[in-house]
Amino acid sequence: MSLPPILLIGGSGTVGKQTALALRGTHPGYPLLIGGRDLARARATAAEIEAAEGVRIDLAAPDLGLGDRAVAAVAIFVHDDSLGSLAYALSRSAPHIGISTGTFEIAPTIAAYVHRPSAPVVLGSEWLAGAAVLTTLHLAKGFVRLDRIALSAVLDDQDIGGPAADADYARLTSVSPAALTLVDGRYHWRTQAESDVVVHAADGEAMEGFAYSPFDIVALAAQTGAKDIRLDVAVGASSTRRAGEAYSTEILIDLEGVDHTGASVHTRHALVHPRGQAPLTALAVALQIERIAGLDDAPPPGPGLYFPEGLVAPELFVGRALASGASLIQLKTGR
Amino acid sequence: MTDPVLLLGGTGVMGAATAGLLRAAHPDLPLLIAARDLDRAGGLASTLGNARAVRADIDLLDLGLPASVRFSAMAVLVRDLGYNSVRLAQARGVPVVLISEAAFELAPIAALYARRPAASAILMMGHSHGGLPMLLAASRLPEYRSVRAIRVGVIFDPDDPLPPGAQVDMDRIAGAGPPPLALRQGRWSWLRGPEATDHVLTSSLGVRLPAEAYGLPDILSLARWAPGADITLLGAEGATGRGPDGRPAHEVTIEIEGEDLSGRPSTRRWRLIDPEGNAMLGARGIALALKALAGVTKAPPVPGLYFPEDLVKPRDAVSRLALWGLDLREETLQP
Repeated sequence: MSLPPILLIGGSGTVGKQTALALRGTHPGYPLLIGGRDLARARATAAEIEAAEGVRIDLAAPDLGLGDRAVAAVAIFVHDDSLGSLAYALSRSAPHIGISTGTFEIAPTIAAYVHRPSAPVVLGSEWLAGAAVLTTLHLAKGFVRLDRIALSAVLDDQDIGGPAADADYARLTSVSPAALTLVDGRYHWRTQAESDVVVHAADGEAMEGFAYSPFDIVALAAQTGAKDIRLDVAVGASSTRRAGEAYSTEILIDLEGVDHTGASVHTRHALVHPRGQAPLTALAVALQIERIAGLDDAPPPGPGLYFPEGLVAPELFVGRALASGASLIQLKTGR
Repeated sequence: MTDPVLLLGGTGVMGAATAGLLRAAHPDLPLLIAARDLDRAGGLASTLGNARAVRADIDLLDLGLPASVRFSAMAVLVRDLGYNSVRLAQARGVPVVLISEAAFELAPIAALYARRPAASAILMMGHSHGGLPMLLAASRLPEYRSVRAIRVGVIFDPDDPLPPGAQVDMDRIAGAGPPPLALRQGRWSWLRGPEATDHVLTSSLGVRLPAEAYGLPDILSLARWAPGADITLLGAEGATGRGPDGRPAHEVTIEIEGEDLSGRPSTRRWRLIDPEGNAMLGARGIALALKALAGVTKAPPVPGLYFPEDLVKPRDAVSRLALWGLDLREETLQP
């Protein structure tokens, strides 16, 4: 009997395709369905990937247009206001992961799960699908108490996230210009009007930024108990491009707290990937799919709401990110 | 002996009304009135009987409650923007209900739940009036074969202002929140401009009042029964029918469009008038949910994430309202 495939909706997009390739690398031969609105494009992508098949996906159809064919898990790389893929997955008790939901948009996904808690539902819409949170939790092991977490991301304007990422950004910032932030232990929706945002890139360059709130803020608040948590993004030339090289993606992580000796500590690190944001996002999604589909040979998780850090150990992600070419650099603090 | 039900913010308008209703319905159920002002809490506790007072501070990790203070369930009736209340409920393994969160504010709760899913039952009840208008609407849905639109309306009399806490919630939601959430033909939509404000509710006096959409979780709950419909929660201000004592009342209207059980087009409207005003209607909803959450008459819910309709059946809400003398009455619509 053949294994039920993993369905990647938007699998022809930048991140979707790299996720398929990441899964292909770790699980050769495991069947993949590359889904999209455009069957020819889905088939073209699938043709480049061994054991992958292109399928047309109709998010408005209860069966997504797949008939009664079974799937092992569903990942969606585009935003879907009808939550059709989630309803489909829950109707078949199949795990589901989405990565394109803003913090303020989370409610319908939560409601869909509460109304039909039949499978794992992964709230994967952290920065680069968990890359920042997982790296932060890895670095947090050096602290006995974390007080402040400031995440900054530099997205190179040549590092095209694809139309799906552009659409997400446009939708999220136009519908809700405020970004969730934790200030002195209390949640606060921060607007651009409150203060100018400056992001210091890995090379120290000050860049104009904006407040953004993927699920990182609530995830890190729940996990660490830090009282001040924020995330800012700057779009422009990345540090490597300023140095005359190719673009990269940067996640700057400032942590303040108390270490094992009782000393107050402020650390600053940069996670940099020389091929941009897509490889880190794809790695994070692939690791989550491996977990929810039980491809990693551990028992698959039961029905529930999961964030990336509830599925993937920080060390596993960081180790694999470094192996894929990323670097995690400690920077000087006290600028 | 049963541990008491803890009412955090129990001395506020909603808290005192909820405590009074619980005391009247369940004389044996001990109550714990928790507030910043111990004297006020003590005053209320002695008025209620079978109640104790305790000082609590939402800015403290354990709310400042000693471990010796035990309780069987917690209602968070103040806005806790840091969620120390939920953390404490999880640490104690007791159910908790939250009444302030609009649909766009559920992410912090989901993150705390996902971190410790087996710790507590968490009831998300930022619905209008403790979920009662939503439950009233749901109680009529079995009379429809298909539902095209549900409009739940609440009409505030200008002489019956929102309690201060509820007003703070509304101001925060209007100020920092995205546009109101609604369901439109099964798609989750943020209503902008006239879509949000170009609505009308008719008061019991026959006056057409300008109304606007509210993005509260009522929409999420009703989508369970009518996933492909238009679902909108509306609020308006205007003179309501007065009770015999001349006090301002609060009105709820339910309008449902669809096909009745024989397949004929059907548009119907019902109205409920609470002569004791908006805060009392909210307190009734909270008391009903809290009774279920605390396991007063049957076993309390297992740990999990809940909406009010998971704990209170629509028809039970209707029967309970009838015992309070409140009936949902159908009105003849002008063609």
